[in-house]
Amino acid sequence: VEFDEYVAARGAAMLRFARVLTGEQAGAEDLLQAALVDVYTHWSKVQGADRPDAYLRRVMVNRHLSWRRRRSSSELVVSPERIASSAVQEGDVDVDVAVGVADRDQARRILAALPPRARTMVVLRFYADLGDVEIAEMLGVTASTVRSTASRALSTLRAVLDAEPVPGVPHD
Amino acid sequence: MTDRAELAIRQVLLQDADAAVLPPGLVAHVRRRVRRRRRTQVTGVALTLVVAVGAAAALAAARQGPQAVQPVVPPLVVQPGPAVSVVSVGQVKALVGGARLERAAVVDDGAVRMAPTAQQPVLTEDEAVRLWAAASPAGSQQIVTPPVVFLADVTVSVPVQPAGAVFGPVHQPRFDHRLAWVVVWDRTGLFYYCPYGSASSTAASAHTGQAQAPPDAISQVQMIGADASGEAVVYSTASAPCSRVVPAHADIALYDLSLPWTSSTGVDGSPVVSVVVPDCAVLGASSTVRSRVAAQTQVSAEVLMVRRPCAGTSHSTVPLTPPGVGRGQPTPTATLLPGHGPTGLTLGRVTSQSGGGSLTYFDGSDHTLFA
Repeated sequence: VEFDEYVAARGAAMLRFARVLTGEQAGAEDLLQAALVDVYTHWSKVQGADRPDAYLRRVMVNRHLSWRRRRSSSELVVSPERIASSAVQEGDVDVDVAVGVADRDQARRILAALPPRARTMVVLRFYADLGDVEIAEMLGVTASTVRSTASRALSTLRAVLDAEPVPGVPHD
Repeated sequence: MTDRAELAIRQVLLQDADAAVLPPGLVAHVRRRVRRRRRTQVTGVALTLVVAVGAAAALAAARQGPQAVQPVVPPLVVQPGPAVSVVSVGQVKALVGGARLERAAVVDDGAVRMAPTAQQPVLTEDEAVRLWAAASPAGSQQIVTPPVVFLADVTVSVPVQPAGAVFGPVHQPRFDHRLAWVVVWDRTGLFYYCPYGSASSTAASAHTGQAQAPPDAISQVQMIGADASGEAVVYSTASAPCSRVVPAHADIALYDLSLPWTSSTGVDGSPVVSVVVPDCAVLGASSTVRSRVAAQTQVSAEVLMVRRPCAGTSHSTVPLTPPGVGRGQPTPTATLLPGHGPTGLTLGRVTSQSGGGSLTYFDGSDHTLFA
């Protein structure tokens, strides 16, 4: 497969993966482009590999984690004037219209709050559907670390969802 | 068994993935970056040689005594013909050489008019680019496509929007046949997070009324007074984020400064940072960047680009508020981390996130600023 053909066939899927990894479109495009630059320079080797997708995913994961290590905003201070000037009006936001929206909202918050490595584990497990061993090998950690990280993310979300039951949705 | 929490996570990830839009010309971009990387590697070797030769020459010149250094100003080549109506960054690029506009051009039927000029600027190109790039608070960056930078005689014929109340009364800048540094860029790569239920919007759909807008359609044109008055205006073409049409408009431009700070304790014992804010600035946001070995906190202030004194200062304290404090979540205790981030103009607009960010711009040839 030529490089152009590969990108045409798999580019969209790989961008989707980059999007869930980074949580944003611009970052995803940049990540995919940077990873493709790496892959392009070694295309003759990658071409011969059994799973070029897996190789590209691994490059994206490594690049994403190294970028995030360099800069990650974790605290935010906002002046009262700024809050007043940029406050979102209540009418601007649509009210939840479907059951499950609140769940997804909480899940989104929890995913956004996860450290980059933990988010990557969650993405690889619940989006890429990789096994714990495969994820552990990719990230250079043990399988039990992957299991406990994913389990912690789920437990946090469960606790939040249990604290705020959605009307009409039966749960324990 | 898939429970409610796992289902929610899977759905969120799938929703996020569905929002991804493959940018046009991805392969071409990749090839260009590979070519640039190879060129940089070759240039690096060449530069080493040039620096070595230059250092030897400088040493020889120093032995011979001081010499007046003349700035090299490339000659202005003006192309004849009427003003060109430009709608894409690529079209503007074709009209620029040696950081100067070579042919008259108009944006949006004359909302912005730009003409070639041989006048000399007080503000240097480097200073203008750095002011433009500083339009994001410290610790945050927006990725943009490489802008085009040039000197021109500029007229903005649409009214400039008044500044927000937070900045107080200001003298509205005017650009009427004024020498200015112009920066033109597009919105490719911008993604709007739309309220649930409304359509999402990306670069491809941003230009309403232009069904066949070029992929690098001009989104913004910033004019920075080349007289070093500190005045600047940014003109935005029409867009349609989240299916809501935003007509073209001109605003006073802003830039961000990272301020020096000291840590202290607020009246209730909570951690605060104390900063000295210049009179011409308004305190903005702060961010803490953590790595495994260190942490740096940066506090930003925004400066409105108008003619106003900036000599005075005022003291302010800002409480630290950790993000992610939402419904049902306990409020974590804020921890003030040691370490000072870089101060001065931020590098908020970057064209590449790799390596912490760098900005590539075109003024007749490509240049790159590193964070």
